[in-house]
Amino acid sequence: MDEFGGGINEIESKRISRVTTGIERLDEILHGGFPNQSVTLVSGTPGSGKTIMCFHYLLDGLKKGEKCLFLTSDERIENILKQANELGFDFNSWVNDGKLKFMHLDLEKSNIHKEMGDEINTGQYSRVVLDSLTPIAEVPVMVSGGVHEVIPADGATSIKKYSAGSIPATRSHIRRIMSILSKSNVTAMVTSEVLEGSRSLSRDTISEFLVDGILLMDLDTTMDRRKLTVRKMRATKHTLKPQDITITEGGIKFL
Amino acid sequence: MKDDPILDVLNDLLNYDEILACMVARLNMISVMPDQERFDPNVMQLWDIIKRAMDDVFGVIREYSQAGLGEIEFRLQDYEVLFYVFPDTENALVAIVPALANKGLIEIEMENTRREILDLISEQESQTNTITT
Repeated sequence: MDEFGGGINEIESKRISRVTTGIERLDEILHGGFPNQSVTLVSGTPGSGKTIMCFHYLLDGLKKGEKCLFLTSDERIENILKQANELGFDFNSWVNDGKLKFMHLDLEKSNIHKEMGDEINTGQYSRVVLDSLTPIAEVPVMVSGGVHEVIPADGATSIKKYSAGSIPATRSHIRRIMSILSKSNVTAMVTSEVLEGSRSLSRDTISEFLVDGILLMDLDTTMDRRKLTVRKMRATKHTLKPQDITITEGGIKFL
Repeated sequence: MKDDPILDVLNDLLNYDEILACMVARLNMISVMPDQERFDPNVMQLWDIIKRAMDDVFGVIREYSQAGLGEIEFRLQDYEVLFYVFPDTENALVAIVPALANKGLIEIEMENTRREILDLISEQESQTNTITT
């Protein structure tokens, strides 16, 4: 059961520039962290620790002097800061120094792609977190015109016919979001909720195919057990074995 | 995982010759499992198919646990996979035994193990405070 990502030379895996995750043991598993300028999906059921994973990642960057961005659409920024504070992640001073920006994406507006893209491209960020992709992915979109306009790529005129909420329109929408993250110079972390018992790695069932890495966070409430599994990580030789973790004051700890 | 009383109970169960592998699991997640090195190597060779079949059974457990489902077992090649459901939960104690094993003794050991684990879960519930966002 302890499998390894196939076909990746261990030396090659170590040679790639890495961005540390903020969790020492996870960095060891990933040979130093996420590949630089990659997009990693953190998926799990509600309460599995996805947001805490984001806190670790951002705090690590801030401590190294990097500029970070936290994008959210479903949580009030004050609540996120309060939750972080309760777990020992005090972001207030970084926010005041302008090193960390919390940005609320208003899903009622039609220009979330532009708003997000402009901020990422002009803010000189090293690390970006989108917590969570799920409500954004569920916004009804139209490929051309309407509430949320997804501009098709050059030559892709045929997708203009897709209506709001159709699977191709949703796919274009998610691809657009992932494209904004992957084409910028940032190393990004995106969270997605999965339903209890679901075998998918994201609620939208699309984003797992568009990212460079996937961290799966499992929660067993009956047994009070938590697991973290690296399901995929580009150019990285890693174990697929679920790792026992716990969440305490101070965040995620490997057991 | 160190100092895990449920793991200790599973390790004790695994001491019986006819228990080839055991774990506490639920749909898509093995919650507590002894060191796989202690499992029968022949079982490990079939692990992928056993795991998939287990997940299908856990879908049934999820549906019927609240209705009082207690045990499920199925035979796969030369093995039987036993599921002892923890009442009103989606979790089960799972053991893989030889298809021709003396089931009487195994059933007693499985039931004792299920009860021990249920006691430990009750203890944990009274002690644990979970922190999540």
